[in-house]
Amino acid sequence: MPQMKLIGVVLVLSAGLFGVFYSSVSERKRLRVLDAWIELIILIRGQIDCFLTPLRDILQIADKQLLSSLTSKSSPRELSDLLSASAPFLDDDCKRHLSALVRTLGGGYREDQIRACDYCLQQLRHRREELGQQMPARLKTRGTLILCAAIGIALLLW
Amino acid sequence: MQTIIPQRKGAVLPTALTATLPLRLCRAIESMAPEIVEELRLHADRQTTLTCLGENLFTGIVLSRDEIQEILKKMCGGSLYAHAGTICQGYLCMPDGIRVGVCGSAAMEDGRIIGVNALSGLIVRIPHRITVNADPVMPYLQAKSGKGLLIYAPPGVGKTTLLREIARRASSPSFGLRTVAVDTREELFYSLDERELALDILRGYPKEVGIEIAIRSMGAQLIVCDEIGSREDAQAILSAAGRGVPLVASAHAVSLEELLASRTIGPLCRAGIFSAFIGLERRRKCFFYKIHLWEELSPEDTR
Repeated sequence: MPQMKLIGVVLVLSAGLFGVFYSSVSERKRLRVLDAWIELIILIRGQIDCFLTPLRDILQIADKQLLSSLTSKSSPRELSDLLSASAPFLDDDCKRHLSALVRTLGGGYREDQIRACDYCLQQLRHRREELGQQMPARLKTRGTLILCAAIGIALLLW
Repeated sequence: MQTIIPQRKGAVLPTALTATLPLRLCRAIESMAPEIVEELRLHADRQTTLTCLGENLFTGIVLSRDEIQEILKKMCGGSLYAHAGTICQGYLCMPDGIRVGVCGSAAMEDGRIIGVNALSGLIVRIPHRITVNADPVMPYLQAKSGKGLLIYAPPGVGKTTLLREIARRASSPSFGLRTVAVDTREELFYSLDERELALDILRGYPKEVGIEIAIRSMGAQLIVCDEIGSREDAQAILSAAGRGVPLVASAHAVSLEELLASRTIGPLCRAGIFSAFIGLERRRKCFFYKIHLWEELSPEDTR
């Protein structure tokens, strides 16, 4: 019986540790996705501003590693595909700004498009800064909560 | 005089076009089973019409302004800004040689159009692979003497089709001229895809720039360009002729008299740039052409 209890406690503590690890990974992934979007929008803005390159061509010339941090598809053809694939890692504000940008891109003339990119970039950068500043505290809080919960459950089970 | 009978090959509308149109419109057009659709006219809040062999047919489908806007975005491959230059000039080039006339309200700045808002219509011109026998025309192309041909007709009669065939024949191994097509509106290159042609195509270049490049950098022995008419075109053509490169071109005119009376084209004709003028005419399924040699024109015409 004590062996079973021990196994149970080890399992609960392992789950807790895994939870802490997963939480940290997903936090970092959120930042990486946001960084990738910022980088992609800078690329789109530059290509439209300098060469009037069509969106599909921009996605083709974009760095594959950059795209792979947004979607698992090897060659996404539309920005909306990228947005829906990366949506789980974005908060509501970022999703709203990116959806507005994706709707606007391709439907207007150069100046509109550049302005839309600039506005979205400004909002995403602001959000990125906030998330970056909050991340250590959030990771610490989550880690502590998850570990405490795991220890508590382990003690109760003992 | 030559007769050309167009025949439809494949679907009623090209795939590049059906991918951009609402399904209900495609179905309506399919159900009408027209022989050849030459033009498709989409109007905001009015019926969509087809032009088939010169006749206008009503589809009974009414598209909204938003639908027209959406269609234009699709026609631009989802990147309207990439086509802003041509849209401001009133047209858009699609794949497969399809040309779309864009109709709406012009947004102006400093006397130039910077955009088209409140779209009211899209006029789609659909090219067809038509077999034209250009052989009777070719002997009039005096490439060695630097004299070319001018094809004239009203819009939609078949000038570009004949021009394309002349470009093909001239650049084929049997004729063997290094030919450069200045394809400003991206209509000429369609179906000129044979590997053996000695043909270079300058797509989207303004005519005056394209002609200059063809002479200076491409060593052209023949220049082909569609729809000449502006003062800049005339200037560029005069410059080309001055350097011994013949030109085959087309122009809008109902008759030879009208062509010669034109302020921009008349002087070109009188400068002896063209050895012959080919007038196109159309009666339902058939196209006819008349060939006028410059030497045979009356003194009144040439004055």
